[in-house]
Order: sequence, then C-alpha cells, then structure tokens
Amino acid sequence: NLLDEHSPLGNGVYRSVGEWLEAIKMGRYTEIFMENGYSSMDAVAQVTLEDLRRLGISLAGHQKKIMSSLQEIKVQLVNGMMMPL
Amino acid sequence: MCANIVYEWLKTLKLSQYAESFVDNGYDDLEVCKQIGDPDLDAIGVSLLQHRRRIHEAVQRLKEEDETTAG
Repeated sequence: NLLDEHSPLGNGVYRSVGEWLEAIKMGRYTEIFMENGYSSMDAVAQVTLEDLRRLGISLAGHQKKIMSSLQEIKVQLVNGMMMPL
Repeated sequence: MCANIVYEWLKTLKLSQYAESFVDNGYDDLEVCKQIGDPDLDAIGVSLLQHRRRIHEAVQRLKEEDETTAG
C-alpha cells in the first residue's frame, strides 16, 4: 500500500477525506466529517467556516488549517488538476 | 517558511520547542495566535503549567498591542 508520502498541502490529489485530513494532520476529525455526510472530497470542497463550527471544530488554528487547505484544493479543482471521483 | 513569525514570537518567550506543533495545528500567524486559550494549548500539547501561563500572558500582550494601534 504505497501512499504518496511526499504529498504536501499543495498536492491536492487525495483519494479520500480521511487521507486528506491525515495529510494536514487533522485526522482526528475524519469520523466527524464522515458521520455528517462529508464523505467525499467533492462534498468536502463545499464546506464553509460555519459548517466547521457546526461540526464542533472550534479551535481557531484547526479551522484555519482546514479552510486554507480547502482553498488550495478548490483552486486545483478549478485548474482541472484533480481527477473527478 | 522556516523563519515563521510564530517561531520568532515563541523564541522571544523561550518556548520555541513548540513552534512545529503550533504550525501543525494551524497557529501559523499572530492573528490566529491571539485566539489561543486552554483548549488550543491542549491540542498543541503544551502541558507544563508555567509554559501555558507564559503563552497566555503573551497572547494577552498581543491583544493589548492590537487595541493600542486600533484605538
């Protein structure tokens, strides 16, 4: 099972929500995302700051980290660098 | 990326050993550091009481500096 260990924040090719969250060291929230219907990267790309608060992700740093990573992912989606699921 | 502002800030507090954990948890600029409270320090892994106190005081100073420039 060769996961791409070199993928930094900017890589953007994440096969699952869990893989993405692990990559940005926010893996502790994987279950919360899955349980609340954010189970694909497409769904996650729509997440807003309000959504994070509703999910109980209240730490300012974690909100910042997740939102800025999503921002990069969205830019890459627009640029067509990410394979559709 | 290495000479991060948060690293510099922690260095002045003699707490630079936490810099990587701060940045890993998204506390990578002073704006977000102003919002640090006990739950944030728990997540970052600052468990020593005197270190927590030192950071709380520094956060307070950051907020005060803000009010001075804004006021």
